[in-house]
Amino acid sequence: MSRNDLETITTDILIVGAGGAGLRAAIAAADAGMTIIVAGKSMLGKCHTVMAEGGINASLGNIDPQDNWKVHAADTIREGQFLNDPRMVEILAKEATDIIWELESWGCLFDRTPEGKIMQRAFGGHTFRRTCHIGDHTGLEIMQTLMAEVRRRERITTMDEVIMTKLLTTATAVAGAIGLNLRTGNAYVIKSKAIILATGGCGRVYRVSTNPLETIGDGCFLAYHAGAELMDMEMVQFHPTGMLHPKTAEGILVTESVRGEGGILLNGLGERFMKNYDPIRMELSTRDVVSRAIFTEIREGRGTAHNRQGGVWLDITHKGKAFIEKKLPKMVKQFKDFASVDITKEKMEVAPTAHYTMGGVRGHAETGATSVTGLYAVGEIAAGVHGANRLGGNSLTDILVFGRRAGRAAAAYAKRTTHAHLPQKQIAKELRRLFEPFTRKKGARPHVLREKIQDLMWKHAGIFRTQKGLTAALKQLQQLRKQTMQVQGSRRYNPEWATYLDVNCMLLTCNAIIRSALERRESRGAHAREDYPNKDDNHWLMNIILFKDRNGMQLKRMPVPPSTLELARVSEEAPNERQ
Amino acid sequence: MKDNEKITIEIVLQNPEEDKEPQVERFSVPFEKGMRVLDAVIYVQENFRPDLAYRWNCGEGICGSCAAEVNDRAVLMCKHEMTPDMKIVRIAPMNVFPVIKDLVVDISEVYKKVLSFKPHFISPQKATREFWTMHEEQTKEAASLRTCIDCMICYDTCHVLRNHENKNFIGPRNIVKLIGIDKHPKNTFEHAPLLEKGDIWSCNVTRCCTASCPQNIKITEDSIIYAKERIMSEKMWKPIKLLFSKDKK
Repeated sequence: MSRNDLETITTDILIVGAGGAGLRAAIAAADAGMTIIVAGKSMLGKCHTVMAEGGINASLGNIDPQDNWKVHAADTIREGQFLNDPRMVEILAKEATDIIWELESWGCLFDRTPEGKIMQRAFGGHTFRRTCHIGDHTGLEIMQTLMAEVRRRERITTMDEVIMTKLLTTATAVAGAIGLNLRTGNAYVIKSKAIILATGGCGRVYRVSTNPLETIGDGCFLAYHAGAELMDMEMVQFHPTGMLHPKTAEGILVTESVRGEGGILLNGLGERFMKNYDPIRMELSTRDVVSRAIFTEIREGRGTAHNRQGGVWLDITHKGKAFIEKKLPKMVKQFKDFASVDITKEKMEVAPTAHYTMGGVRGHAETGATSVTGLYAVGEIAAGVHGANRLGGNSLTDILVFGRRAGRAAAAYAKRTTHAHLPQKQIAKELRRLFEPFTRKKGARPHVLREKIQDLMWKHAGIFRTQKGLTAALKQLQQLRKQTMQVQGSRRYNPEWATYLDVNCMLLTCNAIIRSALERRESRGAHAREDYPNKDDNHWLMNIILFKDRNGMQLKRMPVPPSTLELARVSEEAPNERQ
Repeated sequence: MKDNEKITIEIVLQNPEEDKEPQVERFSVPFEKGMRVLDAVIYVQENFRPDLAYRWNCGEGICGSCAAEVNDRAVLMCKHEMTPDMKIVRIAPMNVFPVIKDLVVDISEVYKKVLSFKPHFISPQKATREFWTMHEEQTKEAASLRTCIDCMICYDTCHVLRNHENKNFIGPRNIVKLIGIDKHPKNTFEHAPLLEKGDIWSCNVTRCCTASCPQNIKITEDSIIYAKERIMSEKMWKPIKLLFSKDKK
């Protein structure tokens, strides 16, 4: 494609990612008078936010009147093992209430208490009941609300099925981005004063993940190559049991209550392996021990047959049909709908599943502004608020609180600046990268590479890590990076082309995860090192930061920003309050 | 049928840029117990047709991306099982929409149709930041309508749109959306009486949409019949209201 037929679209603010964070930012920026383009990889409303089931945290105190923002903040920091940015946590907890009010005024529905207030449920790790929800489709309801608000604002244009592949930068600031319209197969340039990254996490770099197909860390790739910093990349939250078969269902959460109700774990040989790990508590052992046991069985070749490396069996059939249908109706339906397995008669095949990435692009606590002028990051792609582990129900609060802030900040910045000149050299180089794989006669198939990356990440950089495994993974990854890929067929709506672009992002994201995981020689939160099983507060109250310079990826450590005195006190007090 | 035995699927392929007519191609896919139609499509794309266009994202029936027609019925491919007794599995794009390529269709007409009805929740802005008092009995019906995942299966199944090609009919999905707003207890702008403009009377209540909904929304009862009743009662009450308002003067 020559430069002449390259379409250029101009807007004040470009938002990459059309999930909850992106849409909330768009609304805020539009209300500040800016024109906005929201570009999503899939169609509007098909994002990961709709998959959120649990709920959204805010210390409304509707059920437990003692609750307040300070306890919410303290819970968040404790769960995050003191790796969180305290200022971000404070903002999250303080503004959560207002975010819920705002949602309600836009017509978002929540389950109610008998008095007609918003219902709040208990969630693991919370001192009080504070998770607002509607059934098990809270994310869907919130997205419906946000989409309606976006559609009524004329300043916002949404673009479906557009993959942003490169941010264009001048020496001082962002100038725009190059996107690929999947439907036409054409690239175009979006010229913008500010860019907000709201691309979501990167759970799909792992073989088994609860995340949808598209979440592979685009934002990390875009930000890193634009010169921004990545932080806490080693922190990936896993869940011990997710579905494994068929392929489309892989990763869907299998609730821990299956074990709670008497489900037993068997390896591929039919042995009840928990006896080798925790003979007393067996399947009811802690989440860590169960995860580790399942992972070890699979890694040592005693897994089941499906999905390349296999999983283990989770069996509750001995409890009888009536019991199972009464106690676990949702699981009965889930396995029937997505795997045609009758869990009252058959065993479930499960494996640990990647769920959430706490790390990502490093931004300013108040605004999400990155080290690149005009570039903002928000939501799962932004690092800092969740620290080393995320408290359940905090992610929906996160995307809305910081989405609104980033939208306002980007609008304020865009108002006082002008469009930068487009860097033509960068555009030409990126177009070559985009269309090159069609011209190759030979090369690896992108989906084969994707599988290889997912397998090695799951095996070596997943739920448990060792120096040896991570080093091996880094080596394998470097070898995969050397492989050239080819794409066949037409340019119009070519999924293989999309996979090619995904694989490029994955290679970077995985490199960042492995490098950070190697560096952190302790176990904290979601990061578990078999060779360094203890938490080491003396050396590791540090965030690991990655950035790009002439020699490639560089790494530095920074002490966690100091907590305000008041918050530090609450963090220590809170556990007592719980009793 | 045992695992790894071959099963034949047919996919309707078309790249409107190059082909005038859609072509049907047959592919042989290894069978695995429990596999979904989507698994077969992914297998074909990865092994035989790298540029086969299809949509999918979540794999758990909540994003609503992967709707297509399997043996002439619109379904979510991630939920639809490939059973050994299926003689031919024929996968085609949703019939009522223009094809972008292969199984990917352009659904934008659905959104365009509803825009003029202002599909927004409108309520007087509260002066103070106080929360509403509402009860679940009041919100239940709205909440169930609002679980719509925009998969467009009802829209594709509706015979008014499909067989009679009545392009004026606003379609079940849009009625669900508008009534979902109307039934919100705090909503102050009612959309139902406007739906005559959306040719709602062309629906003759065959309930195909309700039967096809993967979210089990009672589309016919909770939204379409409700809207028709609202239109009728508005028509009946309007003269009476007028009469009384004159009396008062």
